[in-house]
Amino acid sequence: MKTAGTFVRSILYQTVRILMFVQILLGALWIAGNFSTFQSFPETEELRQIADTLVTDEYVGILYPCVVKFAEGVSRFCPVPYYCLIYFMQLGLCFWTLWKLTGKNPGKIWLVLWLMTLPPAAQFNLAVLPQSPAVFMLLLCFYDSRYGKWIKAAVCWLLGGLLLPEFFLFGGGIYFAGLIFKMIRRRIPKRMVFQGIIAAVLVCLLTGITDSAAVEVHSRGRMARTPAAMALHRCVWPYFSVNRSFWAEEAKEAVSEESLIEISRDPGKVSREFGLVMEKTYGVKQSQSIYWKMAKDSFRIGTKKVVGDFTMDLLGYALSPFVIVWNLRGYGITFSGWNYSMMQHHTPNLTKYYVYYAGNILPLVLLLALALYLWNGDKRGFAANAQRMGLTCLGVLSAVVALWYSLSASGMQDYKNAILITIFWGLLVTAFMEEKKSSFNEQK
Amino acid sequence: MNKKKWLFWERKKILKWAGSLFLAAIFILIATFGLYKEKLPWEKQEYPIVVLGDSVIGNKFDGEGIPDYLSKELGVPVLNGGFGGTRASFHAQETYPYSVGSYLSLVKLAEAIACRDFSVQKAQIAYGEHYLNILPETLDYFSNTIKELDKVDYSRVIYMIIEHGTNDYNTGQQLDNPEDPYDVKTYGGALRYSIEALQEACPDMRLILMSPTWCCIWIDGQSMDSEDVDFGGGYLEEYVDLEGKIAEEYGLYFLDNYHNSEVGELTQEQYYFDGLHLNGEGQKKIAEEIAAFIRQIENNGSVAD
Repeated sequence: MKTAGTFVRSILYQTVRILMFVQILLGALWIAGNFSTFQSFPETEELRQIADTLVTDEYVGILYPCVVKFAEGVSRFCPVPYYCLIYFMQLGLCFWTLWKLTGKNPGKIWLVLWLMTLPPAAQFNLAVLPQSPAVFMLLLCFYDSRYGKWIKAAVCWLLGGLLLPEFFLFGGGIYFAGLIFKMIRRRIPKRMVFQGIIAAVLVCLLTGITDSAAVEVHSRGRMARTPAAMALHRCVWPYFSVNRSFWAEEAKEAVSEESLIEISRDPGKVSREFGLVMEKTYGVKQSQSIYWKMAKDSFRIGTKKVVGDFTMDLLGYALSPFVIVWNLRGYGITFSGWNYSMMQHHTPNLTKYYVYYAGNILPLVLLLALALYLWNGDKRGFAANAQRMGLTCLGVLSAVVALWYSLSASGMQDYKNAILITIFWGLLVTAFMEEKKSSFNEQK
Repeated sequence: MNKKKWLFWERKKILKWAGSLFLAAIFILIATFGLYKEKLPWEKQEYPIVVLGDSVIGNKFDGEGIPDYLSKELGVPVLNGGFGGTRASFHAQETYPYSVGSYLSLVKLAEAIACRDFSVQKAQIAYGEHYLNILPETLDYFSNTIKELDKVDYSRVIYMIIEHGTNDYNTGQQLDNPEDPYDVKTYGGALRYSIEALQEACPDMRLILMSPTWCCIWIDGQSMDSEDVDFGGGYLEEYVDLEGKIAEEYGLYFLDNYHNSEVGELTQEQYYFDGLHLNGEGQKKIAEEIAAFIRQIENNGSVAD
């Protein structure tokens, strides 16, 4: 009986591997077919403009435009387009990070390749956008914080924050959580604690210096990034014109009714046409109180709608890799169609089969892996506390990321902001697939 | 003994692989069911005629549109694949993550038909529908139309009628790009690109280019005749003439409603609802003319001038 059970388990395990290999194959073909092509995201053009002036705002980090500029410079001396150099760097960073997170085990390289070929990861590794490298910097910061390598963790935190400003907060959260945890459990000597604190101070200092040198509010035509602005975007859009009668006189005077109708049709215009006009008219400080009032009024008038939209966004982010294919079937209100149109532009048929296969197979793979884990009498593979703790922390971080982006804006749910969450679900599968050794906890 | 043991383990390995491959195949079939569902015989929708176009085709007057009248005339199912407000041309620079109309342009629909993948259109329409009250761009029939287009068995479509031009004209899209005949930002380029995509994907399908009729556009309470006003790309007649020229280039059928239809400036009171869109009488008349055109093709194999 036991032998039969083991035999069936081994069949299931092999089945999951086959399912993963098919995804790896499709993903590899997609990467190969699109490596020399360019996804025309409008944000990429903005990054190139920032690279020329080296002035940015609170929404875009300064590091990635510098990387773009550097790649463009290098490509002048070699026959490779600059974006291919960037893709190569991003793929390398992705592989290195996942290799570390899965224990640097050559026997698990197929798991690393599977994680790399999850469609959101593959797509944005081959896009000239900062989301992918920022996520992998954050994961490296997480990894190094867990093992008390504060200098490395601080460097990754700094780089992540310079790639995407909100990652300064996420990275800081991980860093200090790791430091405090180790201090409480007295797992590190005092000098290491001081090293960690000094490294953190240096990161904050360097980030502050970079921000003061490169960040200029309104420089990219967007409103200041504040909690009030986030509340405005979350609660008020798309009801700008509908609820106009409730707005403060300042808001009514600054923006015409026709403009409000246009803003209601386009969430991107909240920042550029409403917020910017308000702040240039009344100043950033005074505008904040107006935004808060508008957000509160909108929430009061349309509580059900606002909460409903927020919940949909939150679920969409939290379950991002699972819901993409549903979005593409016409369910949900997301940017998935837009991202997919970019992804499929050069290889439409291959992309269709790749994305739908990977999206449909993921819940199956997760369930099978979970079933194997629960059935596996030998729980050493997952029982290691450090591995469980690590995944729990990553889960909490993913929840924080989902919450952040859900609170940031209405009508802009975008799976490129959920790459970390996608990787988390993938790591969960790989953890369930662990057999005997806990390689997540091994430091090699 | 050793040989027996070796054989036992070898058989076990083979069984394991066979079992896992079989299971994997089942799971893959289940997981990718949606990709081939429409190819299953009982799921496919057979439409001998599909009509793509703008609001002249898509919008219904008193519950019926041109394709409905055409279906009655010919006695065969006709799919209404028209989307109000759409153009033939496609401007990537004008798209944004939640734009709907751009992805329902002829260029994008031709691409979707070519690779049998309407995912982008479905996702964008879902976005627009959620904010329907605020975003009037997404009319309430868009969702059903795209679902129907997705179900069509294009290998069994005999005629595809393409009616575009009015919105390219009244939004000032360039007629053509002499340096790039496939520039999809232009009306001519969009037509050529779409025709080739459709011909490659459905070589047995007969394409009919149907020109827009005469129209007048209301601007600030004033009616502007399409023969008198140029919105930046040319007069409507120039778009019609270019369409005819492209039909000739590709050896396609061309139904010139602008010059030859009874529906026009002189009969605007009888056939038009607002100078641009047709009323029930106008739709019936156009459907009759299309039906006569198709009967001529069927009878003669060509169309007499």
